[in-house]
Amino acid sequence: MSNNVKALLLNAGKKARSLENTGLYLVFLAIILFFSLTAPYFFSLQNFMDILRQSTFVLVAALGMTMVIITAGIDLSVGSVIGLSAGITSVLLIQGVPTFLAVAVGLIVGIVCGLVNGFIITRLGVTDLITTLSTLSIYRGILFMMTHGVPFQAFARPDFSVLGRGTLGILPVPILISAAFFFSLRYVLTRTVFGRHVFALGSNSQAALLSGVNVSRKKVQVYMISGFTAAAAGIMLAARLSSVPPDMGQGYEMSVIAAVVIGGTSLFGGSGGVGGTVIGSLMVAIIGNGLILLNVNPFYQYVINGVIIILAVALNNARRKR
Amino acid sequence: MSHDNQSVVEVQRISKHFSGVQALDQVDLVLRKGKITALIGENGAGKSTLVKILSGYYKADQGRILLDGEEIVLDSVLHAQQKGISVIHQVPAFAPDLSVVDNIFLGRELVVRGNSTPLPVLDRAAEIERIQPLLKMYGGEMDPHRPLKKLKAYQQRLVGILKALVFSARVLILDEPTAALPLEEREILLSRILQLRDEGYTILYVSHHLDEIEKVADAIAALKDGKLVGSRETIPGQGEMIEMMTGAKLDSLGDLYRPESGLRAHRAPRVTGTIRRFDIEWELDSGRPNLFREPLSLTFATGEITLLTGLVGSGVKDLTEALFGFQRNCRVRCTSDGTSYMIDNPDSAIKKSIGYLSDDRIGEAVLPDFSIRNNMTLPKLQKVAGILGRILLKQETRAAQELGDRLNVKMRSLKQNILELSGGNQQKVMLARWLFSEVRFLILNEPTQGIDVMAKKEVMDLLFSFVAGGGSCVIATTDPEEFLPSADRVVVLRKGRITGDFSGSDIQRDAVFTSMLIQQGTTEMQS
Repeated sequence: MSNNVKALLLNAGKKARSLENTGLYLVFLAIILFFSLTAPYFFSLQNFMDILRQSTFVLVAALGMTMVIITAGIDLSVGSVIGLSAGITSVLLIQGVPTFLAVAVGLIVGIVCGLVNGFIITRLGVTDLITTLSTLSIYRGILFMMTHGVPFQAFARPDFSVLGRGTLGILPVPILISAAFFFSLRYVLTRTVFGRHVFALGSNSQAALLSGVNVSRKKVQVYMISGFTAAAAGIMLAARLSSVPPDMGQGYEMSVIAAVVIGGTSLFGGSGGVGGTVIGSLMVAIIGNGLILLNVNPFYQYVINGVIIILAVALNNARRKR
Repeated sequence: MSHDNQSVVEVQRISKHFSGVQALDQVDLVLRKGKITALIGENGAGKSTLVKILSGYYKADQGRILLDGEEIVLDSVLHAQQKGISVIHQVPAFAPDLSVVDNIFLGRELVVRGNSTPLPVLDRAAEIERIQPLLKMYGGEMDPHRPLKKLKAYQQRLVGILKALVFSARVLILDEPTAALPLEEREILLSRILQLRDEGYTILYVSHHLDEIEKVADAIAALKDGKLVGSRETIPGQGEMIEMMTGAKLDSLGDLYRPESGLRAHRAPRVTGTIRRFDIEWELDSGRPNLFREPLSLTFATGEITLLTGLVGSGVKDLTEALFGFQRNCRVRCTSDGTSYMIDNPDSAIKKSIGYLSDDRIGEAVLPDFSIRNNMTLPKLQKVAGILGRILLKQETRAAQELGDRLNVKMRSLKQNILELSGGNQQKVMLARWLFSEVRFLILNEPTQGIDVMAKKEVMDLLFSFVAGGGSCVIATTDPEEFLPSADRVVVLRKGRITGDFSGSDIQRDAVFTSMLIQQGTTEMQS
């Protein structure tokens, strides 16, 4: 039996090393330790459950973003896509459209947003940064026009709210949804031809092209996936809040990108994965939660998110040089 | 020479190891004043490690370096340069838009003295004055104000050397100085290097080109597996050089390029199977300058190695890219097995069983974050994939392992990152990529560039068996010399036109070079 344990530990050790994420786990534990010692009420099951639930909204969008960043791209429009998809879903719900249809349309809106991003980047040759910065503004503008500045409310039905608030046994539904996203995207990335091509594209797009990878199509598809996951995050968030304010999701791109880069996915493309993104999302949520419990002015959160991204990328660069 | 045989640099029992690999093991090396010492060895023999130690980039684990008889410890590349030791790399890092003079002084600009403003002001006149004598001596007609990107390749290499000279280098380490240079530029550069030697500079010449070494070197040292396996104060023949670095007995370099079955003459007359025909039309009104003015038709027979050659700028590489659907400004129709189809992009080319290898291995072929296996299987992952594109890892690994063994790729594991391999082994992986994809038509740009002799032989043997198995192969090169014995056919390109097409016994070195250099035929009407 002790042999089994030894083998298990050895295996786990190997895995941790192969992920090169040992450092990440240490920082993760250090942050938990820090808040446990300083923030009142932080170290409790109830609070951990809250953090977990809170992290899922960032996580779902960050899973799609991970793919984009693996291709060496970036999607700044996710915050606006979150808002727009949630807005359209809630309008449909208010109009009395069946829940599944409203959700489906909301998801399709996200996919179309991603398609537009991908199309502009690959066909018009506008860089990913400028494209998604512009569509961030465009998609947000559409939501503003739809809402006339007033939040959508009173659309919550039991079968919709369950997406954000429900539980299955003891497990909150958002956690189950994000787990489903996590496992399917991890499968796609690590086990399929599509996933291999995504990595190839980020590693050396020229070589990928010369190996027959349809680089443009892959790029468009990856932005569509990012739009899809952002829309899913938006719909989950709408179900949780029972309200879609016109600025819903604003600034989310920062948390989402922070989660991905903390998770070790390189902004240079070609390496990384969704496993790290889970840790990254948890870290973003823990820091947010801990700071609130410490009564830190919430505006600091913006500063901290920015600093986190810079630190994570700088650390990643240092690791590359080694 | 007044200081004959005076040793300038002496490397004594230098050792260096990296995580489990002994890169250098007790290596001695002497560089003498006014002599060119050649450093040879296969890839992975430790040449670049030695160069990096001499340049201050790495620190040796053991041993010492003497400069003019005194022990020195080099802390950094800058420190080595201050001591007068400079490395001129294969592809020097330059700012292509800046002028010759600006590049030479980049980072060490001369400023106007006694300038009272807080901002230093560039003193270009002083800079020009400083480099003028050097330019006159070694630079030929180089205009110091010309942007670097407008210079010929060999002139750019010279700028790298001049930069070292300006900062009082006495020991020049030239790392593959002639790599990727066209033939006539190579000669000019070599004559400049001899000139430098005669001026009393101490030169370490690192190269795979044994013919060059035979021409210019005065002494030679050979490394193998991190050990010094031979050093001479005279230059032996090329065959002996190969023996020094490989330990294998070989008569001459030429034999390396002949298939085991014998000379080309033995394989030449053969009933060739299918013909693949390419018709290329160029879009001339696209607004972009196009080297190619008229449609080109090329046919290739299976079982043949076709050498596609021409000087740099003749369009050789552009043409290979066109055949693979990688050139935008053209329409390519391919006809084979009685069907005709367009080649719009690399993807469609691969589907029609065409493979392509760029001469820019790192920039356009290798996937740097990928393992050896994943590099091999990329173009045809479908082959080892199940439903919904699920990769069957066991099958993938098995196929990659077979190819790795067959091609004798020296690796620890298939999971190893491709960049950990030597150039020659990387190249073998790139070839394995197309064997895995089971292409029938292989286009290779400079397939033996920057790889060592043994790897070259292995690559060529592989191509022979590829064509013998019914494939056909195009080798595109600006330096046809080494491939001439292996080619079944030679197509020569000059300024976007075919100026020569030789096969079998018509392949004569002089005829090929003539059509590379001089416009032939009477129908040509070009300024």
